Amino acid sequence: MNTVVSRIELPTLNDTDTARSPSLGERLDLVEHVNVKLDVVVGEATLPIDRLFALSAGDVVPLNTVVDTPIEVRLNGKLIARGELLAVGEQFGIQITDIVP
Amino acid sequence: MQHKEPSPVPMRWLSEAQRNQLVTHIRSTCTNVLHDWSAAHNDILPLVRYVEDRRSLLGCNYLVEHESTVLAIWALEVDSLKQLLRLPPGTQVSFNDGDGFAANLELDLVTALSRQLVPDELKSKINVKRILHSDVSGLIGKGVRHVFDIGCDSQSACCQLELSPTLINLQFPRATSQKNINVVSRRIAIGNEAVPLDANLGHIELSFNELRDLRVGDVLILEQALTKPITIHTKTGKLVGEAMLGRYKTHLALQIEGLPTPNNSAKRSIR
Repeated sequence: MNTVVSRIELPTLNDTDTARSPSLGERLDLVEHVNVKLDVVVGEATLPIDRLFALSAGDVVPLNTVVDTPIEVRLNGKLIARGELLAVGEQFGIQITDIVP
Repeated sequence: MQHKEPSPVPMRWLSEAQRNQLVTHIRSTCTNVLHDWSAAHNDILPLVRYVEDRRSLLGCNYLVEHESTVLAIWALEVDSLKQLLRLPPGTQVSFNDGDGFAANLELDLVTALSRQLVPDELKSKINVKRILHSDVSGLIGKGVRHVFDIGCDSQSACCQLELSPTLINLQFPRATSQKNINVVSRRIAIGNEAVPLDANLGHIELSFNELRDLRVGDVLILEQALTKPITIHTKTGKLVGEAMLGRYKTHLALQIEGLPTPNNSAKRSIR
């Protein structure tokens, strides 16, 4: 069988027409199964470099979080919620107390 | 000789007269103390300056350079020992063999002090859980050439150690060029700069739907077990170590469980 091989000519696309409304709208169903990773940060500490280098097992480092105050839930480093630290069986859990808009 | 100083005493170089007096004392009370390192260590002066700069880490009162030999002199009281350990009162301490990091040098020295030089009535105030070195001689060959008791009373314990080249090379890598000395100086200069750290309890994976429907009152369950240590990271995401979460006075706090060993990447990055 003879097959003709030739250069392909792709059409030039024009993206200048922005007046039309997006046809997909907010089709959240398209992303509803996309997983996102939330980080739970119990607090922060600031140590001088000398102190950091001298850390050893058993050292106690206080955090900036006062006991019984909400801890932070972050998405890509951005605060999205706060919650109360809980024990859920043998694991840590967090009960949401505040959704950050 | 001034070997019983109130604590804490900032380390300082002895005057020439004091140095001579000390050396005379050492020679009269100890044998085989002063080794001539000059033949093998022509560049010891930059090293000595480095050790002097690290005095807060060493916690010693004096450094004496005599005939190219470095002597570190400790004169400690119980409060100094606690300060040296940098631990809250009541904290249990496990000593370990030096792994090349300066903190372990301190622990070894405290081991020596608490085993041999601290009076019994003061030992009870030092919360020592475990000591691996059976006696001070265990330190010999581990970087300490000699340990001498140069005085002790009910209030203070004085100790003098001659640091071997092994120890100094291990703990304080010798500067071999002006460039290296500058690097060392810069590192010391930033010693007080603050490093922000995050204590991460872990993460939760949610679908976009679940995230959209998240409400006040919802409970998210983490993979992190209550009995396992959590991780500490720098703001740039580098692992600092692992620690157990607890409370200290009015705040949440971490008790360090594991830190990078000398062979891993975090340790290399420190150096």
